[in-house]
Amino acid sequence: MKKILFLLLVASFAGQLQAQRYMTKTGTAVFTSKATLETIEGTNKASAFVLDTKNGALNALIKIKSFVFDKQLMQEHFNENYMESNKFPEAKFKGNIKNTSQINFTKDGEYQADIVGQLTIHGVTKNITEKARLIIKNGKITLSGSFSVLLSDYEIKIPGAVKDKIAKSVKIDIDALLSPTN
Amino acid sequence: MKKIILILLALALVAGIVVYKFVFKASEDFAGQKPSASFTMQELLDKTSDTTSLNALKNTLISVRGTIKNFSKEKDALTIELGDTMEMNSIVCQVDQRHLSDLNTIQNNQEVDIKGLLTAYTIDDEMGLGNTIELKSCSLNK
Repeated sequence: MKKILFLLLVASFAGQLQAQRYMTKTGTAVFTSKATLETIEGTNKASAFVLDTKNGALNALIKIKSFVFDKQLMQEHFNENYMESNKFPEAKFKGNIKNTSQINFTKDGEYQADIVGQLTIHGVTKNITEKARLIIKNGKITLSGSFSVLLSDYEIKIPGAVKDKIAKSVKIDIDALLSPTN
Repeated sequence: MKKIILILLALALVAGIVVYKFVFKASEDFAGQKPSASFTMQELLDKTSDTTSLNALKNTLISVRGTIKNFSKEKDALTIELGDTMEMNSIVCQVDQRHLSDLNTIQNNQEVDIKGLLTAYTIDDEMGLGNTIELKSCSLNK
């Protein structure tokens, strides 16, 4: 009986040590548009990321209206004219880390993650392949990366009057500290 | 003639100032405003089962009193997550940069009263994140 209890105890600790699901709801996504006349930068620090280290599944959910801008006019243009956030309230990523076999999620270290999946912005879904950085430290995982998005790919139209103020290609930076969860 | 030119120059200057102030106006600061409605953390999270009442609160300044489950602090940014540590459902508040000092000493499990603009919510079914309500431009509800 004692032996069974001991084995159950060991199994329960082992389960905790090898958490396979990591998440955050306070990740960062930064949108940067550098055009001839103006640089527009919006930050969303309420971005959700979930990573399953067992199969490499990586999901992200970002609410467009939660982006914060320094200038009120930028925020209005971003939501109303470009992203149409009432009609398309969120951006989503659903994909996988392809090289999980090269990443030791139980050991502190820094790795490159090869990510493939589907990115949905403005109601348009596209397949993407990107590289990101994973830092594993003290049982937590920091996911960071930077990639460019061509607005025309996602049917985001730039009115002629402001074409010098919005870049055709914008940069998206992500940075998220993921904690183990059950 | 000189008088007309001076008047035109003055008008152009005023118009320039008006346009400048409009274009470069900082995002709205809600810290001095009274919230339209006040909730406990649980009262607000319970509204995820009735999205009609939650939709009515979108883009509205509300206050929420609850326990800090988690927070993410950087040099010039603070995001606070209110919720029960045993549950996935939570309220995520992005603090207004101009009011970080009021929330400088927060700790997990601390009770806070925060106000902010309700921007979005997620009724989670596939990511396993639980339900989430998002607030931005947040500050301490004094």
